[in-house]
Amino acid sequence: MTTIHADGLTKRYPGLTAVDHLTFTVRAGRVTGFVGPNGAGKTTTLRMLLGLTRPTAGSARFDARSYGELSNPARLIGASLDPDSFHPGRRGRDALHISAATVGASRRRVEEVLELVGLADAATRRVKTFSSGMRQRLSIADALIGDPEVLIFDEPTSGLDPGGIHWLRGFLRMLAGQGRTVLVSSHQLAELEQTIDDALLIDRGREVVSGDLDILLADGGHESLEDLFLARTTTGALR
Amino acid sequence: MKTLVRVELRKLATIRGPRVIVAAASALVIVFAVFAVATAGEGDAPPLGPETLPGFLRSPAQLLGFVALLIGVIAVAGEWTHRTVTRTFLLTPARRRVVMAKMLTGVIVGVGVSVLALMLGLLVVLPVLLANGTALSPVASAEAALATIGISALYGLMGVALGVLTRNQTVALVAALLWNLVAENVVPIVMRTPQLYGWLPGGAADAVLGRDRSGLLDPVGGGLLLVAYAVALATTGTLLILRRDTA
Repeated sequence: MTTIHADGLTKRYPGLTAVDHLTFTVRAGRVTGFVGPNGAGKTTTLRMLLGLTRPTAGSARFDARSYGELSNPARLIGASLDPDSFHPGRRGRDALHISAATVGASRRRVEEVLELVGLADAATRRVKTFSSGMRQRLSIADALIGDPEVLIFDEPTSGLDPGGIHWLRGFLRMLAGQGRTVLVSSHQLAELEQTIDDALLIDRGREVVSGDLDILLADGGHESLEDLFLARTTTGALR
Repeated sequence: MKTLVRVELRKLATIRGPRVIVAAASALVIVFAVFAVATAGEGDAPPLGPETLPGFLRSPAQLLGFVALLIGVIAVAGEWTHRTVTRTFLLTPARRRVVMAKMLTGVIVGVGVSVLALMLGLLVVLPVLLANGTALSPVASAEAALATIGISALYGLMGVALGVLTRNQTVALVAALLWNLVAENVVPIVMRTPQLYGWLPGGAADAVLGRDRSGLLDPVGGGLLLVAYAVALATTGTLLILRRDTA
């Protein structure tokens, strides 16, 4: 059971504060939706959690350790950030074998995750022949390769067809049901509402609200996650 | 480190580019080999003799060095071109270790490519020399083969270093060509110190190849100088990679 902690996470660029003293906790065994308008700082936050972007201030930890302190992080944390981060000329299965070899996972694990995401039959094809939904599934398979306790997904529904989105909903629920910590960033609010237990809403780099989704909706008198989003963010103010 | 090097080799083996480059280079070396024995004694070409085998083994050094450099650049800059670097650094956050693994991979690829190509060439040259009773000059031949393999290994290392520094395949290759074809010839003239050439990467490569030119270091010194250049470039590039966010 691993919990994600962000403490005062801040990222400043010249003339822009992308993330501003963000503090939150993502609990194990639950799916947490990470939502906010475009440019709110969601992707920057996820990248800071994962050591890809250096925070200007603050820290992110998985229990007590930062991502960079983990000797083999993919065994604890799986991340799917960009479905286009595969070499287009490489075969899907080869891409996963490379990840598996890096983290010390078996070839059997590669076949397992290919089955899990429904790509087993297409795995010998080169990635450039994959549809965007297939690349998304490959990216999810890659995140699962180390059988991690924590899963972080950035816009995982992007490119998926309705069947794929339905599959993903059940899949994320299954992962949380196994006690894993699941953090999902998405703009598909109606879809996300059916999937998540907790919500973390940010705007202009700052936390707006966070907590159990049912309680957040009840306390604010909101009918839906979209209603909450529109009421509390700058996007809502544009209506 | 062994795992990371194996992974880097696998990355290169599972895309077409490096395979095509190695196949093309091997085919060219076979052409060199055919040329070496078929044209012997014709025109200005010397007849088959003790110098034939060492001459052949040294002839593809520049080609194989460039091939190793190209693959070294692809091994690093290709990660940024295809955005695979995000996954690489997610799986291995210790970026210095990734760069070191890639540098070792550059050396291994350089050795592997040159050994493969020379072996294929030998399949053409050796039977002809043996059939003609030509002396093989084992010592001179071994020195020539080592020089070619050495230059290929060092250029593989340089390719990785250039890739780390530029993180862009085109920029790395254009920089390497401009440096090799223009800067190395112009700098010593502009600075009015012709002996400077021996201390530049091209002069170091000429030293490894045992070229007859004044101001060159000995072959081992040339090799060490090339390693120093590669380490300096890669260290600078690594510092930039460590400081910058991964796109």
